[in-house]
Amino acid sequence: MEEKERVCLPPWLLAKEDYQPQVDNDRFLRKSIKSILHVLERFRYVDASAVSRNGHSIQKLITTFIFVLLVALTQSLQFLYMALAWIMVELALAPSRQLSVILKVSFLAMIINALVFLPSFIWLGNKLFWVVPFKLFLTVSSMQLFAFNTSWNDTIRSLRFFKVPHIFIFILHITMKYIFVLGQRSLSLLQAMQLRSVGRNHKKGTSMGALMGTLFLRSQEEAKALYDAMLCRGFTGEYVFVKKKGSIQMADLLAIVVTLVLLYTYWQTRGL
Amino acid sequence: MHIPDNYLSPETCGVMAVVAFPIVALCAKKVREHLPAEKMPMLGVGAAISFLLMMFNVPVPGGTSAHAVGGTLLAALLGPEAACLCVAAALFIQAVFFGDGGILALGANIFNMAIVMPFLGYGLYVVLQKWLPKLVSLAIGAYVGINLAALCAAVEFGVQPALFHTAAGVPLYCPYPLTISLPAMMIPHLTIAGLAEAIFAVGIYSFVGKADSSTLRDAATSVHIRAKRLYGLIIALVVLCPLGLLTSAGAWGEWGADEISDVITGGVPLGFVPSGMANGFDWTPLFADYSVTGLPESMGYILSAIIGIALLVIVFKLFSAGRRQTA
Repeated sequence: MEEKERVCLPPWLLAKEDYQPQVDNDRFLRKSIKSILHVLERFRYVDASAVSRNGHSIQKLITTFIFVLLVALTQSLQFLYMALAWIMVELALAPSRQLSVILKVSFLAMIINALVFLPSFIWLGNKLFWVVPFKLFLTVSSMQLFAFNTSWNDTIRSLRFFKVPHIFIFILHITMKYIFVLGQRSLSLLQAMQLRSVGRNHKKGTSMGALMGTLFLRSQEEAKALYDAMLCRGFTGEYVFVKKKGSIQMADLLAIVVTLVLLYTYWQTRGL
Repeated sequence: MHIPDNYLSPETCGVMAVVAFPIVALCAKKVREHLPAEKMPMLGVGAAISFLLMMFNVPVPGGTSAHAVGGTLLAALLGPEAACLCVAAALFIQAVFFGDGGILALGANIFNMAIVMPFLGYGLYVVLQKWLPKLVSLAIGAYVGINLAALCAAVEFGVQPALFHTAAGVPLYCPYPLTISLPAMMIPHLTIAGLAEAIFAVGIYSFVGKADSSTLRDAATSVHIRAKRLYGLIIALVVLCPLGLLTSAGAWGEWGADEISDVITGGVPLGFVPSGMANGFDWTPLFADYSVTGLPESMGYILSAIIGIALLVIVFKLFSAGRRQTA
């Protein structure tokens, strides 16, 4: 009896198997997943802080813009030191988690820029070669502080305050939302592929292409669905600026006073 | 009390650095492990307080000036290890960015102001509390602490001419022996600067500290810090810090190489520049003497104060963020 059953089994099942999956170099896959996760985490983090810190978003947009403009235009070191003092105070008030991220990016930008300017010091003896990298540090830090302390919704709101065209705001708004949604989609696609891949994949390019294609098709479907849903809820393509109730905070006053002081200093030190 | 570069021989600086830096590293380790989490942000603020107190120069007998440090005060609020770390960070930033105190002499300065002062002052403060009220013992601890630190600095200055001189007996570095350096350092600190330190310590402690009976550990952790008052205090000190410019006199033992030849001691100018100073190590900081070229002196002083304390807060925020990751 036993003998008979054994004979019935198909031969490929009887063959002794010793399958060792080839080790595949999936660094690319892991790296993409990691970087997507990183971006997602950052976006979620920013979105979670829906309430803008450090004052009104319109005030922040204006003061940041003036700050960057003045730092770029000035030719006086005294003004730059004052700007440095203000940025350092803002950095000192930032939560330590943001602080390390901001400093990392700012220093990286500054160092790369300094490398570009280094030849002017080495061959031409230009002792002020550090001024532009220093300016870059100030402006990059300032922009990052703005980005970290203002939620996307508030940024878009304040853009409308400055009469930026509706279509531009619409694109920006959907993009912000979609970076997060599409990030999650691509993350699940990548993870699904990683789970199903055993052994060596010789056609990595094809797999990536298929992934991108799927993502593109899905995003089209979802974009249409999203727009339809918006239309159903009465969206006419216009963003109406709604005045938010809220008193002027200390942070607003401080930023405005500092900006006025910086403007005054800029005026006094111009041409020096 | 900030010993500048080239007043101490490189050998002295080396010895002091070998003594001071491991102690600071040990303190950093202890603070990371044992300081209560709610006091972590206070480290930067404490360092800022010390930094600001050192900017308030008060005129003292003998035509020089001196300043408070706040070492014992910080020890009473945060514990001696944290105080050591705070003062050491303030000294480092003063030396590197503001040219106050030497880079090579950093070890000696840290030993005097960041190790001797908080640890001994705090020890006295704890011991005296058995017999005396808290604030009185704090005042005595602060007074004795700053004087012990000044004594250390005076001894470091005073042994230089005996140990390091040319074959003809001309001093290479600090030209003043113990007979001059001891009274020159100690008289100002025993009178005005010690008093200022004690007043600042008691005033700030009673302003920001609040007895916290919920934790019955050692003296430093059982005091609760009223953060809002502390921030207010810092802003007030920043605004008031140009008062430290009122005295035009420099501190004793902090002259530049171009000034020391004309310094009059006992009616006689020194008349020479020690060769170790003339050809010594020279560091050009970003904001030399807390000033910004082209800005009014008081503006530069305030700007330096803001940049200095912001830098200290940033450094300690990164320090405490490091703890959270490793923990």
